[in-house]
Amino acid sequence: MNASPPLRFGLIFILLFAILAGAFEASRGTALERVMVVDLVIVPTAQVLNAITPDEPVELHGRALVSGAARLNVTRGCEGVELLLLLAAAIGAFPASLWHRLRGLLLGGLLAYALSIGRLVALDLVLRYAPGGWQAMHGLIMPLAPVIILSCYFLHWSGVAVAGAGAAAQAHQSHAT
Amino acid sequence: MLVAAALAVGACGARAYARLAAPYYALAARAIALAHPWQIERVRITSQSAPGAVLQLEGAVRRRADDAQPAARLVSQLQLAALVQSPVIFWSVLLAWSAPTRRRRVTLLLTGLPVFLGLEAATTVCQLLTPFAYASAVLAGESPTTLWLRWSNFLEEGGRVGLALAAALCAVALAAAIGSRAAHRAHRAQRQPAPTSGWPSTLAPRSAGRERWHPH
Repeated sequence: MNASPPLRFGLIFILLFAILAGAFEASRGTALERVMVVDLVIVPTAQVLNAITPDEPVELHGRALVSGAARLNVTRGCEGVELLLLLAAAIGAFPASLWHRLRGLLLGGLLAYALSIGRLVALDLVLRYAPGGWQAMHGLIMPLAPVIILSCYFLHWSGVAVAGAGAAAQAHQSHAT
Repeated sequence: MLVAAALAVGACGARAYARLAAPYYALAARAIALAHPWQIERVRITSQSAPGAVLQLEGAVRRRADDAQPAARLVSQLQLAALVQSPVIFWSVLLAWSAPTRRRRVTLLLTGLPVFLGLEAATTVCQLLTPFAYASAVLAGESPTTLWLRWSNFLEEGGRVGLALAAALCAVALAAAIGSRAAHRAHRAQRQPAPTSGWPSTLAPRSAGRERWHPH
């Protein structure tokens, strides 16, 4: 029995994501994880924050961004790696050429990276200047807003993939006739 | 637009949703607890202001199921704002998905309901029960890194979002299969002599094809 396209996509997507998340979880405590989380995400976040609010400098204490009375602990699920994994799983599950997938992953990876840093910057600023909105921002808006932006990117990417495949099929047909 | 509205509803309606869903969480938690030496007492929402409020599950863990006294009493909790992530994603995808007729739209939403209940059990209820599994493992002298803990970590690391998306797509596929079967049946009924009692032809789905692959 043939699974319908949404079901096939959904199953491959969640399977790929589970594999990628499992691999990342297995890397916890290694140098790779430290580079991915601390060097590539938390340190640049602190630099961006220091550029935005030079009067109130941010210091890095382990995996916490500390400035004055505010302390933002970057824990599991806040690191932004899951954005890249979700995108990679979605691109891997969608039928497209290898070239189109690589391009989608590269551009999408840059977008996911920017969104990860932007999310941490926004959370830190909310914690410092609008703590009343912390729970809604941390629990709902900030986890979902980057996913929504990445989903829009993925829909655009998949639309281009489908259009490209259609154009290639038409060209093939006209050659055959 | 729909997504922004969904986020706003999620942020503002978290408490109302948690109140509505709490009996189901308690029911599902009790069903899962039947296979473990756990006792689920109640699920409640703390009385703090909406953004800081949490959903709490209170219960007890016994060393063995036939022990008279519990070995530990536990309170596990989840932020209300985090609780509404799955419903916001799941129902946004279903509402954004194109349906050629209103009948197909209703089928899609009705099909989504049992899938959604399964999603809530696999995400929120399992996360609320993770401390119980942890306590059971500690009481048994086993490693506290149980499958429950690994599952909870997976949910925290984006798995909740991934599962909600995959579950929504499963609901779409299920609704499409139901719609196709109904259309096929209607098509066969039209080719045969009309039965004396049955659905009028105006209620048959307008198109027999599968749902479109892309949402709006």
